[in-house]
Amino acid sequence: MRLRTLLLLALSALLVGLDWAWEARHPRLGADLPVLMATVAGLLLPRPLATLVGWSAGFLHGLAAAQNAGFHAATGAVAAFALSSWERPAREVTPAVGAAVAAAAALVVGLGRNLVFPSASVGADLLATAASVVANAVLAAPLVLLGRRVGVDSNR
Amino acid sequence: MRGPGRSARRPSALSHGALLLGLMGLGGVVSGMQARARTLNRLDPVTMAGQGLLAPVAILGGVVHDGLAGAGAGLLYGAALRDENARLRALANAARLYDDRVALLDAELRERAEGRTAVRAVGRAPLTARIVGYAAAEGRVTLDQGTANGVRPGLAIVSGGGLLGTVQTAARNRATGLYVASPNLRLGVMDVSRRPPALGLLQGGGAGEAVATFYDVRTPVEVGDRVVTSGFGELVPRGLLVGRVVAVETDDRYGVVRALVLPEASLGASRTVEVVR
Repeated sequence: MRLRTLLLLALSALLVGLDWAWEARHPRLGADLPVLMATVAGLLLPRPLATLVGWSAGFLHGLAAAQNAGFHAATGAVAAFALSSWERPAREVTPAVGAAVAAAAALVVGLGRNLVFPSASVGADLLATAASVVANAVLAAPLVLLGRRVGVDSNR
Repeated sequence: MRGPGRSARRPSALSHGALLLGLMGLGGVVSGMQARARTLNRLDPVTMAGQGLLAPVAILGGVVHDGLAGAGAGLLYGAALRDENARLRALANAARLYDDRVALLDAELRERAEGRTAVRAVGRAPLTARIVGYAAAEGRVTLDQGTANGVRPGLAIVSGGGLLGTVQTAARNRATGLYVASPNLRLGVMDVSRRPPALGLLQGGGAGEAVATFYDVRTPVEVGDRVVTSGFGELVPRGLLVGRVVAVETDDRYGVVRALVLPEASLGASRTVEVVR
């Protein structure tokens, strides 16, 4: 396994750990970091690496929250796999594109989650989804910028 | 431009798909393990390992988050919090004072009820009087009732469950009373803890105590005995509790027994008293 892969997995663990700490304090206002990681990885990394990072981010998130790790891992892996199949040089992905795609992914996940697990507090769910969309967009931009700086190029 | 690349990537696309399927299969295995462990109310080893891996980051992140949140709140709301703190302190002080006041009033009400009960128990009518002046050193109180309401010198004054003293002087709307421990007060008493009750004469000894003298050296007075008014005079009724014996001394030379009596009623404990008419 290449050093870059290890570093990316470590970054996933770091972000998921922060996500865990954040969600413990603001359960309804968190950025969906596994989705964010899968999105950024899918945009910037070669497909196998992106799939691995998306899977591990979702998997760790599931473990941290003692939820269904397999389900989260599959979600992350599929998202990263699908995005990395969108063939383009990673250097063409601007922070704005990364932010937009991460926001869209957060929106899809948030709305999908509310459809699958409907709750009585629809207003609060929508607010949480909106907050997640904004947070994902804000966090995706610097991550994409960082990925471009370190020379990641999927070279598909 | 992508033509040659595409033909070269085909096998890799298959391998990528296999990787995805493999990862999802692994996820399914872990998922089943988690579900089984949860059914048994346990935490599976993979979850424990994952949480162990993430816990240091989460704890550190939580500490940093809390610190930043605290610092931010301090900057944003510091002045408001300080004002709120001052207001809460003032409220707490007011509540404490209120509690003290309520406790004081409760005690007064209780004493007053006890006083009225004690007066009625000896078959007399109580007249509530307010103490409007104290002369603690002389053991004297001034009451806001006088001859207009039937107060006259010699009547008993009751506070709480016990005799506070007797009326010394009475004007139309004022009266002065002598505390039971005042050296100027003499009163017939009896020790009702003995059978038959032992008769004696009580004289104030100052310093909040009185001395009951029993003129028979064989009088069996003991510490803890209850001393009440004897009621042989016209004005002070029989049976008002004066106090309890705290020390006994037998004087063979004069053939008397002297008992130190601690009055039941204390001067200054209450603002209202009952005059026994």
